[in-house]
Amino acid sequence: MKAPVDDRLAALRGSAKRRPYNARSLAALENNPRCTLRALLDASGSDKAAIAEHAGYPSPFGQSAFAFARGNAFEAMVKDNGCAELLRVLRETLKLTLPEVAYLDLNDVGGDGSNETRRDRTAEVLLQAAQGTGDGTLFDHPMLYLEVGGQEAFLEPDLVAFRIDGRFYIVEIKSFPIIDGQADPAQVRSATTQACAYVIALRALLEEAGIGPEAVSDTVVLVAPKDFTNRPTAAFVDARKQVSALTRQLARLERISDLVDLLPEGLTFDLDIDKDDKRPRRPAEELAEALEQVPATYRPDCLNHCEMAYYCRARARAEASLDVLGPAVREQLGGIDTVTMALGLARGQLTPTADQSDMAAALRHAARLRAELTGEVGGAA
Amino acid sequence: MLSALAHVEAMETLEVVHQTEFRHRRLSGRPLVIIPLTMAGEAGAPLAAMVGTAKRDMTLLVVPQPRNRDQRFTFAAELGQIVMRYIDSYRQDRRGDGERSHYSDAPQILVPNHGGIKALADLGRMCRFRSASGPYAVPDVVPEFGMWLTFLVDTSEQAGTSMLMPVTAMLSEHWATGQSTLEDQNLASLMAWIAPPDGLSVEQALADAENPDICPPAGPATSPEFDNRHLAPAIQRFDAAHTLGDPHDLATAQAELRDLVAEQVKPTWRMMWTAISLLRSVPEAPRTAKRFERDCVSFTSYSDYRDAGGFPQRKRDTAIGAAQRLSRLERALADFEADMAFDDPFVLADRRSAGEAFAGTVEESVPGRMVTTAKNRRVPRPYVTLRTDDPVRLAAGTKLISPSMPAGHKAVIASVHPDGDTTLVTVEVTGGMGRSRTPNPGTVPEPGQRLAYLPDPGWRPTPVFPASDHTPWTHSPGPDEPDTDSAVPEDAAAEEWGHED
Amino acid sequence: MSDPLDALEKSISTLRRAIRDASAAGDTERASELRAQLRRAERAWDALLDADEPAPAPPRPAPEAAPAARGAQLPAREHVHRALMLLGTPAAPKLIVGVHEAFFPGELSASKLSSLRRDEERSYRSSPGARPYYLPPALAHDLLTPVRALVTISTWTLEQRIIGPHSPRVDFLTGAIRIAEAVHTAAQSAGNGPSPEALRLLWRFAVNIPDAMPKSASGHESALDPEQVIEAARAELDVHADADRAVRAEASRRARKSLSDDQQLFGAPSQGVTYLRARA
Repeated sequence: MKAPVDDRLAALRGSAKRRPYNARSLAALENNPRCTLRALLDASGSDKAAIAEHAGYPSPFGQSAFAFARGNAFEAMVKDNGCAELLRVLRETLKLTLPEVAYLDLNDVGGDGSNETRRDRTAEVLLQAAQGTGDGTLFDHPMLYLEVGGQEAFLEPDLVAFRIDGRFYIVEIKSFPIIDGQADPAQVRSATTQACAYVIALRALLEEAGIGPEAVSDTVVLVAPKDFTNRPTAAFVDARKQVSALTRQLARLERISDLVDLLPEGLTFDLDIDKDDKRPRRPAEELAEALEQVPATYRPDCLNHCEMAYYCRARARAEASLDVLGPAVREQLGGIDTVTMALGLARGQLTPTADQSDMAAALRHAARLRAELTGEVGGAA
Repeated sequence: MLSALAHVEAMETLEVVHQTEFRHRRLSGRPLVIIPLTMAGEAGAPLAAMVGTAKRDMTLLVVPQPRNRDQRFTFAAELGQIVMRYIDSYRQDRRGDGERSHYSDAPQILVPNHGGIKALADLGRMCRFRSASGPYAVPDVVPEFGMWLTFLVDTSEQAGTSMLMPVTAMLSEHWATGQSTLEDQNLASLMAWIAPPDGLSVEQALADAENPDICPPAGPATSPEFDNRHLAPAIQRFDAAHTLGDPHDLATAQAELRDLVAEQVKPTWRMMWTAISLLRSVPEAPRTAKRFERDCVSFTSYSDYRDAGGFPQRKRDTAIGAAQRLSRLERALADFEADMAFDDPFVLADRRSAGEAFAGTVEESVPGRMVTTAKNRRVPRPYVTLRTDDPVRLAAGTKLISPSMPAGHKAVIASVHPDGDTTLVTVEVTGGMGRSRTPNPGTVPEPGQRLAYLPDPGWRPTPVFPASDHTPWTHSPGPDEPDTDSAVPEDAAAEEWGHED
Repeated sequence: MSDPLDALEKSISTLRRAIRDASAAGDTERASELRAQLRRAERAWDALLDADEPAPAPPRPAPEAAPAARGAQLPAREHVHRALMLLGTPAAPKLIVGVHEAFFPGELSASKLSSLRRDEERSYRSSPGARPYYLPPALAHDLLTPVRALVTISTWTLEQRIIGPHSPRVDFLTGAIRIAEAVHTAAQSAGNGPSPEALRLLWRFAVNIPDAMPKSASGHESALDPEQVIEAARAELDVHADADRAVRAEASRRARKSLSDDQQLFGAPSQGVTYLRARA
């Protein structure tokens, strides 16, 4: 069963190199789980940014060099001098005892920085710790591994801390501040969702050795600058809900074949990149046609995180879909999908179905009120 | 429902649709516009601010190296001076006597979007605990500015206040666009709908609005592309010139940075003033004046508190303080919503379409109905029955007010009965009839009369809180308690701000 | 609103669109030409405003230039050596620079340090022993491969140059003691006392050691007591010392047995390198 699905996914991607899942793309599963287009593009390892650009909607995503530099500098500072700052905050939050300081650097293994070597070394030392035969407390940049929809995903947490009572904690080091005990909720959420992928991967690793999931806490430790200083503070974030939500989404990915089966034969998002000038040779119209075959679930919120969002918005606009207006309006007009339908019902030009009748009455009433106010007779223009 | 429909219509016609008749926010004759820019990745690292009270009166302040703490506070002091000069100009003319007197006018700061308020909140938090003496001293104006910013940010969370507002919120309250709330927070996108530049369609203007080459972001974040391609190299050149210490090179590097930042911020500056003049063209709602008077009172009270040398606002509310604050915010919101519905037929209609208000024709009236009160007094309590087409969702017992009746009119729902496609609502008139045993003429709705009712926001009892905290919420009873999570003093740590490599 | 201003604003918008078009077409030359035009137009806009308004705030005064280089012009590796001798433990370049600035005159930058490190191994291999000391990397206790982030001195024992799981903390505490001692000495001497940089460095160490900070709430650097820092660091050091020593001793025995002389300084071949060589 697996092979044909993998073949189909490979065909969707075409000649391009597979883009592996990472914590970021796994976290994105949480953002818009019902979007088929996104699920297929991710599962097939397609290059969403390149596809969006060739379809005429280059994604404006980019990270400011300042944010990038700040993130790296902060993490380095926290880990400087034998993780001096980090130990201080972890002693406060995790109540690490004084002897719990052993530090293992997993950024490379004797100069070998390949994912596989690091994964094996990580597995070795983390299992030793869990089984009580190692003496690590702080595991710097371990390399975790997860199979997602039959594809390998390498995941690299900032740090894993192991407490003497036999529990692992995922530690996320972020450079957005915690001011007076409060951090930006959106940023905390996205950091936590990323950490969830690590929790799941670490649990999977331990499970192979017969160690239960309770060995990995689903409370994540967020280490971030305190107030406006450069010094860290730590906070616990309860990730239970997000862990189970992400687990669910990952399970859905296992059933990606259900989605693939619905696709027309021969569908591909291949850009057919020219080997010499690196430009796509596939006609843009053809790509657009292929994309249109796959349903997308656009939400304005996608603009914040999905490379395909501008494409999807244009598509939603062209379809006059109420998705364009976002959840506030959508929820008020439950059961109505398009502008045409909403206004048709409001103006009494369309006959509502049985389950639309209440909404239709409400819309007609609202349209009548508006018409009275704007001085128009017989409904909106 | 009505406003949802307005957005749908806007989407269909590609034109904005009015969703209010009035502007419910006061617009000062001399607002102070501030466009704060911050550096990506760092909280409270101001990059620049453009500030002024008229399009032609603007000052651009730039922090050449935002990671440098001294430069940050130099910036805060300069911006603080401008803002305090503006605020102080409203602390002159006082009306009324003694305790109850208050300033006759209040400042109004306008920023492009909610992010702008957040940036000012961060700046306020960064400044208000600074000290003008001791190790890491800052100019006097810095903590003062920080406390005022915090005050203004706090007021802005309260519905109906006008002392600090994002212009996007003011615009989108009046105009419904065919885009989402998220996109409405982009000033350029919103303006593309409301007033596309000459010769451009809304569609073209929208595309331009999202292109940082044409419409740089209104802040506080700058576009990553600008950061990487222009700003980072310019800051590097400034740092290099700074290290080498050549005054000519330094001046050149500074001038270059200023030009770069000016290019990013000026399109927003001009757009802000266009937006303000558009907002001026919308008539102000009648009750805005009364709400503004409350602004003046709260401005005066904080001003007096500052004059008395009060403490900076605490970092975190106490539990009681937080509960009081929440209750106050909820109440302000309910009041403001009622005010808007009272003043504005569009808003009233929106609430009617949601079943939160209703309007109809009086079918029956029992003006002579009397009841005996608990104190054994006979008082008039007329019954009035209305027939309405509205999908009423209010229950018996709901207290009501009416924009169609003389001031003071109060009623309570006695019963609600669906009757075919319409609904019969019987209300008991409870107030606004005068003091005599027969209601004053015109105070009880008569058969055939059309009128509207909406819930009285004043009916909820004010929650009672333990009296342990007598001080007003803006006032900290003493210097902030030391931080529990670390013995590290913040100002000393702040020394270690920037990157070392 | 005055007409020239309106006209100028219109041409600014037009310019911005032209820049967008030029960038979209990949015509960078045209784009930068247009950018220059845009800048001129913006200046003209400013000038129009200034015509009847007071000038905007003058550019802020230039911050003071960095103090000129002071002290003896020692070669950089001498500076590094001196700082490492003070610390007595393997250290990252950032800390070496920090110690240097706190206690010694002269210029030492992190960038200079990284180029220096590259030269050490080359110089050693071309004529071993030609220099009185080298600055090799620390060695990992398990694979005996170089820990490139940490610099040591060749004259130290293997045990001192090996990094076990507890060593980062042990070295941090040892470093804290050495810095506190140096601060204490400076305070006792007849000179100006410890530099502000030295106090700040000590403070950065002290805040991360249990009970090293004075109890009083003020907590500024000046309130630090070096003796208290030393005492606190020793107390924690006692907890880790045995475990650390055992790992270091075992690893250095292994190193002496299995590594050549130069490998004992610069580490066993990195695994990545072997792998590449095997394939080549």
